[in-house]
Amino acid sequence: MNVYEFMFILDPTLDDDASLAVVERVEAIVKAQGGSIVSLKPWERRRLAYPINGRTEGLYMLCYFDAPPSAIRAIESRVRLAEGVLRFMILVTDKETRKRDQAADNRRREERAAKAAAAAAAAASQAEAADGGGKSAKPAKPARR
Amino acid sequence: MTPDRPRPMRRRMRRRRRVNPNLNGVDRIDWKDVDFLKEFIGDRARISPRRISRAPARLQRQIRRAVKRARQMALLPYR
Repeated sequence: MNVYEFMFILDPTLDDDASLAVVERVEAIVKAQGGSIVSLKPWERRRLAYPINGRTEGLYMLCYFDAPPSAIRAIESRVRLAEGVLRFMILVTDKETRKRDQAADNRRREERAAKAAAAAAAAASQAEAADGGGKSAKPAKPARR
Repeated sequence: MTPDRPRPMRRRMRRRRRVNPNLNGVDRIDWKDVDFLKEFIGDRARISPRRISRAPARLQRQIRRAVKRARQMALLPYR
């Protein structure tokens, strides 16, 4: 299983419901081929360097997913046909990006563990109540979606 | 064989090649980093040669790849 970097451009003229539908369709395509999505977020709404299908702007989405290499061709062919997707590119994530992301994930995991330990210690001893209150003020980070 | 044409005498002095400050400590070029890549294309959107970009060979190859990818995704123009 490789982690792939997948960027696709959505038609910016679609309304929110239609855009969401396209994104969900793309997600479904990846999953159907045995891929699991690591993250999928909007990247930028920007002016295109040249018109594509007559449009001058695009909504860029950036996705990272995990999938067996054999699945890529199928994903590509289906995404190409998907409505609302103007252009896309799937690349193997380079090791540096992968390492940086994993390091960030590990750090976040350690922070959460440390916070949990601190909160537990604070609950145990009354004297630490003030410190414990300060730490728990930070909202929990949702899993990378 | 064509004879060599007379060439002007040139002093053989080689200045030390300066490294592009933009590229200090850069390990990997990201094709999504449009602002960074813009430094390496000319006014006609052509990729600058190493002569101009002063990039080490390895990075120049990455730059070339990155620019071509960015062009395909309409982040950079072709012309």
